[in-house]
Amino acid sequence: MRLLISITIVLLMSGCAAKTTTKEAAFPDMYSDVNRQVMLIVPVINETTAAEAPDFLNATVAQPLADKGYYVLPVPIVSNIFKEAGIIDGTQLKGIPFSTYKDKFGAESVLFIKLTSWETNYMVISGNVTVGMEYILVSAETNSVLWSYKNTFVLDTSGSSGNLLADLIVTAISTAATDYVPVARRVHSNAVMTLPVGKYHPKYLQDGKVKNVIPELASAPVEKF
Amino acid sequence: MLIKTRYLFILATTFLFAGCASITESGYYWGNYSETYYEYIKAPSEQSVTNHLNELNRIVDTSKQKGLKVPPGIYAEIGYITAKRGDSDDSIAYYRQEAELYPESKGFIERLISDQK
Repeated sequence: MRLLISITIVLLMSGCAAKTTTKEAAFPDMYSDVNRQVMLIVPVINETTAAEAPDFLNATVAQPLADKGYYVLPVPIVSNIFKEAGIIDGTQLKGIPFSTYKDKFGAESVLFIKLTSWETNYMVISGNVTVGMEYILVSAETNSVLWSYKNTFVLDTSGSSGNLLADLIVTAISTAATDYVPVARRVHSNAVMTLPVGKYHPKYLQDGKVKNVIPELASAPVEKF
Repeated sequence: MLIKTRYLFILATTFLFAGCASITESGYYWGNYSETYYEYIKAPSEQSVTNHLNELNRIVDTSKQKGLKVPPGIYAEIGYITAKRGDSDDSIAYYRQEAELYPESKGFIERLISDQK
């Protein structure tokens, strides 16, 4: 137990020691170009074998971004429009000019989400899900990358009632029966911490000095999409 | 004593979660939006659509009661489901409410309305 705590502390400290930069330094266009408030979220690019994962992400993605102050075009309607056009995975959008999203949806910015890993591990009394994600927000007007972030999250799905047997059951159920809505929600909220807030947020244009961006995680090239 | 502490802790945790769940940093109330929408994607049926629609209406009502702005997209979604159910007049009224509340959605909303006609 003590060893575990020490390891956790060391990990935490090494986490803090990672070089960080401010939101404004990492994403200058988010502060100079304010015409990026209408956000279109396109279907998830799924590089994993977890066929159900995009649905979890899809169901939970609008809320954290709207809470950051953006006008998020209604995800269920948008994904239906894509579906009617035969597009269910973001990979199919490759090569489509970003201006198309402006013409067809009135979008000022387009958010691409790539799911790179989604692995469920279960151990005897604990379980976790490892989720690898890349987010890239592109301007539909200038084609420039406004914000990007990639990260791998390990999320604990074990129960913690203090009762070993109950925990065992809860872990098995929560990891196997895949009610991942809360997991997906935490993945998104974790990622959008580095996103400069939009105009409906009380801190609009005032969060540039927040220093929580790890530069290596914030440099997705636009060519990938 | 220990039991009391544990009780207090549980109580405090409950309040924390209740706090998080009810109103967000931009001042929105979302209810169980993600849960009902996920159920609807996973198993589209009359029942799951109705459950999601009920949740959307509950978000509107609760937001009004609390004096909050209805979150982006909620009115549009109600309009969309209403349209799919064949009531185009009602659906247009909901679409217009979305555009009124969030003027930047106007281009998108007008497109939805014209697609319907």
